[in-house]
Amino acid sequence: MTRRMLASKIAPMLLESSNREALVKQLAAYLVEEGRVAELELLMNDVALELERLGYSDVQLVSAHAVSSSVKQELVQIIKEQTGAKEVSLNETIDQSLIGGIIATTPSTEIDLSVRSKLKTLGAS
Amino acid sequence: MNVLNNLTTFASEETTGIGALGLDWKVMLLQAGTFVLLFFIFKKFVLDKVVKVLGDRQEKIDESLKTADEIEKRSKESNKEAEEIVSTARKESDVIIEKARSETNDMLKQAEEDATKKQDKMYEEAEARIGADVKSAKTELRNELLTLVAAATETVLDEKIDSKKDEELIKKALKDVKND
Repeated sequence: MTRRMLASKIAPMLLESSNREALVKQLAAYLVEEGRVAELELLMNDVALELERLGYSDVQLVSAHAVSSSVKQELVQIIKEQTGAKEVSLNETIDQSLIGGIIATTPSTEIDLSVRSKLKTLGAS
Repeated sequence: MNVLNNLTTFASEETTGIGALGLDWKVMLLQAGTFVLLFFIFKKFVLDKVVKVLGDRQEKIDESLKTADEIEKRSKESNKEAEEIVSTARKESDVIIEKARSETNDMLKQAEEDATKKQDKMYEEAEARIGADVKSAKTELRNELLTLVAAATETVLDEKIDSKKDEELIKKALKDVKND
């Protein structure tokens, strides 16, 4: 079974299953048994993509300062419009090296509104 | 001897004709015979040899003259031939010199053209190199300037951007994303 096929099987099961822990254990056992542990990270990316395709987007949000709820709502709205996701979950991280702004990374795209990136772009031009 | 005495006597006795003039025809006759005799003797023993020697000398002289003429003729021919050779050589040398001069001129002209072309090419290359250097320097300067500006901005913003200001920046950026 290819990785993408596996991801397309796991993603709906994750959404439907009430016992996600058991499902994750089964998946881990399968990967160990098949000797495909090295593919775990790529498989997770594929699962995230599949989930996004199914309407559930997992977003990594990095910012220099804590982001207000109004900003989050606005960002979620934009991501829904861009990816077609029905639900968006934000995983926040603070990184002051961004100086200002945010970086929102979905499984399929990245929205980089950080000051650091803008300065890098300016310096590279 | 008797004959001679008779003749002498006969001659001395003549007193008329030629004898009246004091000439004795007998003596004259005798002298003429003697002369003829002497002549034949002289001719036989001396003159023929002298004539032969003279003839041989004449032949030698003629031959020498002929040889001299021939030598002179040959000399003239040689001189003429030499003149022709010299003339031909001079013409050839003139042609060679003219050709060499022409070739030299061509070479000089070609060298001058080559030098001019080379000089032009060097100028062009130098200009291109200078242009490229200037462009590179400008680009480098611009990049350095941008880096400095970015670094300065980064430093200033790092100090100036607080949570409130950051939220304003984020909202503005999200608005721009929406409008895009």
